[in-house]
Amino acid sequence: MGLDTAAMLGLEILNSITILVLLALGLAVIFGMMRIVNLAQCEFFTLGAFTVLAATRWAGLPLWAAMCLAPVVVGGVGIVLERLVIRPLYGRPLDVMLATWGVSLLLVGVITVIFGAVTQGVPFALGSFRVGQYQYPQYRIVMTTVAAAMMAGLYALFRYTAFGRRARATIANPEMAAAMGINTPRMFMLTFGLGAGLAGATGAILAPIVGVVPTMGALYIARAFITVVVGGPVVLLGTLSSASVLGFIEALISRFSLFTIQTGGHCTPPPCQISIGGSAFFGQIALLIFAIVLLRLLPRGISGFRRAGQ
Amino acid sequence: MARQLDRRDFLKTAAAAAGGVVAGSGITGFPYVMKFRRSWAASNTVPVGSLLDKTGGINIYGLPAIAATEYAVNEINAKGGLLGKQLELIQYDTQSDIANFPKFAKKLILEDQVVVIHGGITSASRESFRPVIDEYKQLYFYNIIYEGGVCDKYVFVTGETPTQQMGPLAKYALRKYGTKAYTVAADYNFGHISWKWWDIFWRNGGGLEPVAGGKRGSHVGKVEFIPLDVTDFNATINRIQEAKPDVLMSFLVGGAHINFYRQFAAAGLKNKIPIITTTFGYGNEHIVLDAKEVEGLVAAYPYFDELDNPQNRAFKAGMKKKMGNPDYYIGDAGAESYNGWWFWAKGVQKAGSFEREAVTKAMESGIEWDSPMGHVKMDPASHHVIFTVHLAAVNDKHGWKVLESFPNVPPTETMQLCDLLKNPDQHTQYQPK
Repeated sequence: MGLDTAAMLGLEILNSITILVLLALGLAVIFGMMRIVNLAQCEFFTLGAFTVLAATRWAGLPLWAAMCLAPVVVGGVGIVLERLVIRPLYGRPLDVMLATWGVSLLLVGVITVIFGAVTQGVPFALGSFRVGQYQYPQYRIVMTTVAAAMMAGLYALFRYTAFGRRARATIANPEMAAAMGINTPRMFMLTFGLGAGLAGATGAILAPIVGVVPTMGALYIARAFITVVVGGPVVLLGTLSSASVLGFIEALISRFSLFTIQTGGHCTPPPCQISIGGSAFFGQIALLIFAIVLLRLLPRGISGFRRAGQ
Repeated sequence: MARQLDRRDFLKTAAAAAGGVVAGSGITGFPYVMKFRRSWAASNTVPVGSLLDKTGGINIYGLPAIAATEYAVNEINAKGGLLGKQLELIQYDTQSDIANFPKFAKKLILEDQVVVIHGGITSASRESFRPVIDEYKQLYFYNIIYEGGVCDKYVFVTGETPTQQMGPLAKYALRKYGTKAYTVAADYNFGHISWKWWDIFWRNGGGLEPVAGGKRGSHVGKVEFIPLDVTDFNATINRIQEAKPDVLMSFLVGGAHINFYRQFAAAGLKNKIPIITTTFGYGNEHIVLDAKEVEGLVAAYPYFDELDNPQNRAFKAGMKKKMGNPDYYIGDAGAESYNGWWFWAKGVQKAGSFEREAVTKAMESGIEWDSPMGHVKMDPASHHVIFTVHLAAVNDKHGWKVLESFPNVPPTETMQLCDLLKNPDQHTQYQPK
């Protein structure tokens, strides 16, 4: 393997990890911290992407401004959703699932009515750079940078600000937090809005590389949940480590053929063999298998040895 | 226009069916079993069915096909209908979900009692309900580009097959780009069978048999089959760069795969590795993507909106009016659905009947007419269409520039294997050995 091929493999792994981190961040807050199983989470991605589409196409905003607008809009939607739907249902996880599933269908419906069920695109802004014999899109590096910044920002927010301390206190023990004078309903609402906003940002970041369509969220939601569940109770560290492990496996198996199985009969073109590994399909399978094995060995997730809430 | 069968409808249908039996026995003297099915016999409308994906990842093909289906049925009705009856179009949204096709096909046949079904998009969806078609001996039209080989007495195909696209594409690419090809394909029966045919055409220099004198193609890297829901093509694109092909053949399908072309361009490869394809543009992908992302990509279809003939001028004006959009691009999927409905209508007119056997016989007399895509002819033995194929490149204005035209290209690979006149009792799909 040449130096450039190795560098490309490194970039592919980084890209897989980046996408998993981006998908998992909002969910890590809403599901990982607040323990709300929000089935409308994938529509937050979709809303983020459509915010970019609408802002660039109708309001004529530049792409970057539209991307900054997306988390604000989606965070707002999240806050409204928490107020109207989720708040009466705290402590009733099955009802929350049912209600948010309804919201998910509603959001897809509304987006379809406004934008149509057609696949649309947000044109790409950046070029590519050269690594030996390869070329690689610059935008992928921007994505990684943004994901790292979001991760660091989230850590700083929860670790060093008054809001973060209150939010953590509220989630760890709502009664005690309320007794200490924290407005706990407000903290729940804002934390939920934060999680929605992060998912909205993810949708906006993904918009230029994927097709924007009302049902796009469903393509990502499984990987988001898997990453958060494998991550375990320590939200940020867990998400980062599970995204790293799973992204590494996915990129590696997508790239390399592990072994080939010889099959009988007559083939065009010969020889008759099925190659295991070396395609996106096996990358996804490897990710799922590895997640199952990890959860079997570490039922509480990678960060399960740490106490929750840290 | 999805129709649900409620109790009242059921009672009406049952009453009408009973009436049909009585009327039938009155006229012919004996109540024969076909009459019982035809609850519409006494009515001045006749139900016809369409199964297309209005929503989900396959709707990039479904939406233009639905628009053209409605347009064609309206046009047939505006011209007085068929045999004195207006067509009542019953459509179900199959939602890009294979399980819906056999379900709704049964509903169309048993409850709605349609005289013909048009539709099915992916080959996986077609093969999911072709057994239902065969079980109930239902007349069926499949109006989509596909991997060829369907040989079924009850089925007529108006889309293009491998010879009609891959022959011209292979010859063009060998002449213009070089002999080393890399192939990416959708991971289901369409992609897999298309790859087998493409291997034959490419290594033979553009024919089913080796083409004398021309260059022969070869493959670099391995063919890559990509599931329909994959959206990130980073690893694939790097593998393509590693293989350094002269040309990339794409059999990618559906909304998620549009991202491939965008990510390919973003990696700066658009001007380095030319793309040829049998699928790009069929879902009007060239409208979704930025012109500079896909300009120059070459495809082969019998229809592009840019074709200039009187039938196409009228078709385009009518579709733009129907869609309320002066920039509406119809595309090959729309044109083939339109042709499918008109082929059937001409068959019914010639047969003077809606019955499957009579219409099939009329279709097998070799119906030909001037359609928006030019002169088209139904090949009696294979139930496939012979038409002129155009090679075209994406231009800088979300449209196509026709490069070359190949008149009257037959679907040779299917015609060689399938003769429904000599051997009518066939309900199969042939594949390359």
